[in-house]
Amino acid sequence: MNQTNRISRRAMLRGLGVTLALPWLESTSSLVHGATVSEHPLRMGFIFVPNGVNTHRWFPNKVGYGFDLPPVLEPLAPLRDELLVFSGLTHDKGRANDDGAGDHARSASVFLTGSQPRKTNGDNIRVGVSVDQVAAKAIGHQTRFSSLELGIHAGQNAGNCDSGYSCAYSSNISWASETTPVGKEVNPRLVFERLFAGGSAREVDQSRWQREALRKSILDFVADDARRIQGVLSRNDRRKLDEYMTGIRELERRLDQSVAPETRDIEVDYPVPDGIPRDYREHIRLMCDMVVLAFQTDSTRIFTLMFANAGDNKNYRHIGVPDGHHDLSHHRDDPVKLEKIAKINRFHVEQFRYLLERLSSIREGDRTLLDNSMIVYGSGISDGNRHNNENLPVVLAGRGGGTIDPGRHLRYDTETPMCNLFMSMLERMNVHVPYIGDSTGTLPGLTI
Amino acid sequence: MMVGGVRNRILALAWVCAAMFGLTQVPVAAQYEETPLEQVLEIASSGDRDERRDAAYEIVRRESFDAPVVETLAKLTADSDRQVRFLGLLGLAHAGPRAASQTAIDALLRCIQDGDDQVRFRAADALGKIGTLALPQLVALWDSADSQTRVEIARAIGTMGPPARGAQELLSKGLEDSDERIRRSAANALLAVAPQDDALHRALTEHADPQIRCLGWQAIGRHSAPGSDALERLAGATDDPDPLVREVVVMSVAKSALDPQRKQQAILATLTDPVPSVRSAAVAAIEHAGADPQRLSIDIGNLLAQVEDVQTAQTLLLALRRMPAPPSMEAASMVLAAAGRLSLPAEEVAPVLQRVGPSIVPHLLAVLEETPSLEPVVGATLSGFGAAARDAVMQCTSHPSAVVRQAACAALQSLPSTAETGVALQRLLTDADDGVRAKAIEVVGQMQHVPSEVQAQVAEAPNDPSPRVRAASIRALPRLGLEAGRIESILRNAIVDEEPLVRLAGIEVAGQTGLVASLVDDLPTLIRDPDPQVRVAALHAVAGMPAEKLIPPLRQAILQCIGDRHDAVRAAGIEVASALHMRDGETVAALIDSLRGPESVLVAVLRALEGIGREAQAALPAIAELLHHDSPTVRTAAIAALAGIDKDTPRLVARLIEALDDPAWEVRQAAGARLGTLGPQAKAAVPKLFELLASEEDSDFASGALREIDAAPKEALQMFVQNLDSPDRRTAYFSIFFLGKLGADAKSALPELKTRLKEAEGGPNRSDVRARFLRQAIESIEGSTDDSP
Repeated sequence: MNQTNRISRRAMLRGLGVTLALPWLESTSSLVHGATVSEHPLRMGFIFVPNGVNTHRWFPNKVGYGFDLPPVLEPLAPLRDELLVFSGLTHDKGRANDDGAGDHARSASVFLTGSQPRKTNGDNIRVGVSVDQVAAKAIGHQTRFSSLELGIHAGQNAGNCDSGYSCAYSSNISWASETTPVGKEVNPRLVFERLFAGGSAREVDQSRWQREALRKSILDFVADDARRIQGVLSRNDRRKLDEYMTGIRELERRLDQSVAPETRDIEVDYPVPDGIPRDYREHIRLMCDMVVLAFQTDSTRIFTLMFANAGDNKNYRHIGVPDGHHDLSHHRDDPVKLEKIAKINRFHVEQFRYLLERLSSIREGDRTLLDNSMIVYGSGISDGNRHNNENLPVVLAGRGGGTIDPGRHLRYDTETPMCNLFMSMLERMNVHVPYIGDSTGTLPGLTI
Repeated sequence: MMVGGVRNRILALAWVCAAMFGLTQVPVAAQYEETPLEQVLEIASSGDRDERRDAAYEIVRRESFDAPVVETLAKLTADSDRQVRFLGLLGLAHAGPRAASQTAIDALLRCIQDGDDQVRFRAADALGKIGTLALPQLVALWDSADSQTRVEIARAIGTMGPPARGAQELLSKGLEDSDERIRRSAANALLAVAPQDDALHRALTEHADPQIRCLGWQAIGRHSAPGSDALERLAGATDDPDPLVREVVVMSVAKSALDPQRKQQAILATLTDPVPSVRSAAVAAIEHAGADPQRLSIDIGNLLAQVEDVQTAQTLLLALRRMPAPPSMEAASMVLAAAGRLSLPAEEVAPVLQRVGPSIVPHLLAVLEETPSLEPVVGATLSGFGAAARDAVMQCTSHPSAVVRQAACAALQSLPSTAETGVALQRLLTDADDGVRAKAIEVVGQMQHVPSEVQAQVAEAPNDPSPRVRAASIRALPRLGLEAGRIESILRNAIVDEEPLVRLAGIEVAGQTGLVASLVDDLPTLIRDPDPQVRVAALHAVAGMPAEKLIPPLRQAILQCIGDRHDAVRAAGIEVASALHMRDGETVAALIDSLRGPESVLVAVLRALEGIGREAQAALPAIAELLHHDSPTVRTAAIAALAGIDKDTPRLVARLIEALDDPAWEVRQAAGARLGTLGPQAKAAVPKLFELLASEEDSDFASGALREIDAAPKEALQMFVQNLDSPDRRTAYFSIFFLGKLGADAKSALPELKTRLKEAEGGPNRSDVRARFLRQAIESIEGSTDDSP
């Protein structure tokens, strides 16, 4: 092969019904202009956790650099320099505003839209377009998938889930239009198939059948292409490609194990469809791995992930909390309940850390995938007992490609719209809209 | 033309019919999309609540802001429905200059003085976006406005930007306000109206308020030209007395147009700042200080050579890791020297050395021979290279120096498993040096898959003459795939070994493998072991045992540990006693005796006593003394214990009320929560809890406790009456609520309540919610009085 030929950034490994995008490699430097380092796109992501947090264990005391990490955020200690922790951000449209009860449904629907949901459990639902979909509409055409919507529990999209609010509000944070939620995928196997399926529908089906019947990996289907491409890669890139493919194989193995017969003995108190992992931690981590793969291969640049639906009442027995999460969140200042909530919050933060560590382990030139991302983690309710929507627990991880100065706790005046953060993120993605939800502008202070 | 309401109902009915026949094409949310604008405007003013909302939504959505629309939006800001009011404000903000009319301005000026935070905030946003039309009125309003309104006035002016320069004098006045929020808002507004004003920047950087100085320095960093005096002053501001300012200064320096050498100097100066957060900021700034990376790394290395405290040294290591370019070999030598001198953690030193690359390996080995204590650092560094340093690692496995061979053991783990590495490992397992053998066994203990020949070798190691090797082999047992009987036999020998290191390994592994129950007869001896670490490990192993296995000798041994002279043993003994539900008099007495020593032990004892509950009455006096302990954690635990133990409720309530004045929030919160759980019996605490409603920190738990107590003492009557008009909504509502709770005792408050009911039902301060509460209270009082109708 001609030594001056390099691999196109859009090159894929292909096989029967399988298309495997490549991660960033030195050898995929830009051909056209002879540059030695390719440009890396920015990514954005949003993670939602329900029922608020134990606010006394969440917010740091110190503002600025070197902030203290309270017990709930303590798992993020190794990544403190990659985080911005916010105080003072508000979603006023999550409040009742004369609509009475229904805080949980509002908290999810407002989380990325900043819009007041119409109180209805019929099909005349209405809220607003979510920030991820605003971005997807503008830049989604640049990737194979305009965005990825993931979750752990499907929930329902119809019926009354919260005091007269439709289940669509509680089960979704991503809205393509004021009236259309974007359903999330909760089966990691299906996400995996979606990411790597390629070719005609018949080829995809045939490939899947062969893999299941013969216990083959998708890597077996692209082996020829992989061998061909190895010949033109640098030594570092060969190692990176090995690591990438080992990672995929490991992911396949975990997908198989997560629904293996022995894991079906794991006790859960909610119905688990076939093909869905029963171990909640493993389920979240598999979804996080999908995000990493999707970003790594530039299959998408935008994702949302709900760790649970709004008002979720699942128990967390596996971490020593047998009570329902929602029930506990109405703590009435009972210290025992508050400590249990803190445990649940901390568990969720540990999974967030898992995602961030995975992102930061992937190099993209001089930076890492995390450096080139902006990942928001938070809840649409601050204290679960008060159901208040000001001073929301929100963390932003990543450096936005060098446009954000993390490692700080930023405290804003109360009533600062959370949507102003979204405006700042959109601006960095080169998506220019006059407003989103109830934004009044961008959020100052993300960069010094 | 049909009246809006009737027309829409017919439309809705038509939609339902269409839906039934699957003919629905257009969602109901878009019901006014086809409606002419003038009709929408009419509905927005006169429809029912849902119609007004949908109409207002549609008006904003259309973004057609001619005069009738602006007028309607202005009217909507006074609508009775909150959502409609918001849409009115939002619409005016989106209209921007198109809403420049006196009607809109008047409405917004009213709103900027509203009692509702959101309304004020949104009004300020809209006023700012409209432009300078409202500027004279805003300036005129300043002097008579309250603090919150002034904050918003400043915000509105700031949003207007440079065209509002005429308000600079007013904003400068705001900079000197006693309210920090006003000062900050004024400063931000000044920077928005005059972003490049050098005199302004200077004034801000010389302000007494550190937050204002931060804004000033940031502005200088962003806007000042290269070579300017302002930038020189910025570089010199790294000695500001406030650490928050120094943080901002160092980052502003890093991003400014300052000369690269000067930048580097300023950042270096901050890397050894006495305040950790400032050092963190300096590390973050390092990325922007790449003028001369080699020189920079040497400079940092020189700093490392001078520092005496580990924390500053750790900051400097982090800086070397974060530098855009790898450190030089010279810098790496200084890092190694500091690591040896200060015993820096290997996990923080190794990543720095790894950045230099595998070329550093010979140097590492040379230093290691002189300074054997650097073995963990060298091992971690070699491991971090992985396959890149494979040849070097394999050579090190046969190095004459035992310390080097030990480091090579650690690094072997990171290499892919091959026949060659397997042979090297087997050789190391039989090394002449026991440190090397022990290390090699540790590596085996961490392997995913242990080859059978290595398994066999390690399985013999519990008989090794060296206690280090025996201990390491015990710890590796779970990995070897031996059958349970053999493991148990090895452990039985280990727990009676003459060396404490081996006994410790034995009992810990017994705990991990679930074999503790089979060693129960040996446990009392282990719990009394001469070595405190073994005692602690034995106690932890016992904690997981079923209660029926708690034989009397074991029980006695645990009780003895509660009074052990080593704090760690005591803490473990207390924990185990709790876990095994030991609640008899002997245990209580032992716990009371143990109420001494460090915080961790005290808290453990208090929790154990709390768990015992009312059977621990004898502990009350000792616990009460701890309510005055220095540590808030201990005081909090003491409150929890008292609440769980004390049968004398009035005494308990009195103590908890006293604790509501504690300087530490967690203590107050614990006291408040426990008062709540007592219900009406704690009503004596209501006045104090009521006071706490005014505190931002305490109002949450105070209101929770008040709700649970659900009763009030009649002595608090005057206090409730005085707070009926409190600006804090929660206080006002609780006043009304508790007056109702007082029933007949609150008869004298009826006139006050009735006056306020009239105001709440009509008039400028109308509020349905408040009216409802007042009615309920009045009914409750009148229903309880003898002469009620």
